[in-house]
Amino acid sequence: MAREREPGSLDLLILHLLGERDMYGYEMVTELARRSEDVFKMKEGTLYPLLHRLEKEGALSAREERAEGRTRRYYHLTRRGRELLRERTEDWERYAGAVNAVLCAPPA
Amino acid sequence: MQWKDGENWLRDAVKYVKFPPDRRRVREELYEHMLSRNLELLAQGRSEAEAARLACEAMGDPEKVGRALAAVHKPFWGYFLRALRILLILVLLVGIVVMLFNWRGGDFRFFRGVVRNYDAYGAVWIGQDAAQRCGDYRFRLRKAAVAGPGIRETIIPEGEYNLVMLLRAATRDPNLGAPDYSSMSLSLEDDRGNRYPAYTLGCRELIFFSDVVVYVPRFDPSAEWAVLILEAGERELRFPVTLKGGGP
Repeated sequence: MAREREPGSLDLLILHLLGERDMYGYEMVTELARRSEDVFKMKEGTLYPLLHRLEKEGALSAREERAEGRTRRYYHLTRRGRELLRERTEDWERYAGAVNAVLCAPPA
Repeated sequence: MQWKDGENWLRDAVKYVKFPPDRRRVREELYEHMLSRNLELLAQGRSEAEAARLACEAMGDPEKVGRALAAVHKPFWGYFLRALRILLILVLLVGIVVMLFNWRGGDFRFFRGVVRNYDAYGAVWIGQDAAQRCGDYRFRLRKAAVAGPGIRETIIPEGEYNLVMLLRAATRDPNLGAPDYSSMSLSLEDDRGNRYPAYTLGCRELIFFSDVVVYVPRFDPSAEWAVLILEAGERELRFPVTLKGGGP
């Protein structure tokens, strides 16, 4: 069983990216950096334990594609991965809403 | 890419993944990532040495990455699945060998305890004549062999020959066992005008069919053909056996 994770962790971002289309690791890293304007610039090697764990949990499946003499491993979001993405998104929205409520609430 | 740096980084990271096939796959994936980063840095005008160094730095601490990967790729499951695969292949191979053996006439081996010294049997005839129906069964004589003192090693007394046959009874009813041979009469006639009583020895029952060894002692080995006769009530089934190339 998956451990409890913080809302808004890297899992959510990866699942979200893969919810749009299949990607390989390097593509995910560059896409995250681009969309977040380099805020989410992580140590790139740490992405792979996460991808492999999600694959093992059945949230992702992988296939290898060969192009120009190079083999890329594309990840695909499975049905179980979509359910996980929905749960994580709901957790994040609840969490972000609570933070906003605290920040925006007038002092008592 | 100044590959020495990249190689070192990869070696330091993947050494924590203990199952070789997983290690190979992880290494290929990380290599592909580092190569992509390296090419991008070179395209930005960095020198080869700098691009290689920055590509390694971007990957992070190899030990940390390697340990995190090792936590996902536990060698136990890798080896367990490999052992399971090998076991399945072995079972399949043994099954094929057993099947081939039976097909080649191993049925006599099955009855080894009864017939004794089955190696002594020579002149094996493989019969595939049409099956003959009787009641709920379809009988087919599958094999016949003459055994005697002149044929390899034998335990049969000098001057005596036996004829051993394998009779199969097939049925469409999976609940039916072997036919009741005690209520039937078995005998053998040959082209020399001899008529012998035949006996059943041992029976192997499987679903939908059963095999029984039919044994004729003190058989005349000069016969060129013989006919096994099975009488069940009013019915009489006759199974020809070619012994020396002739035929009834």
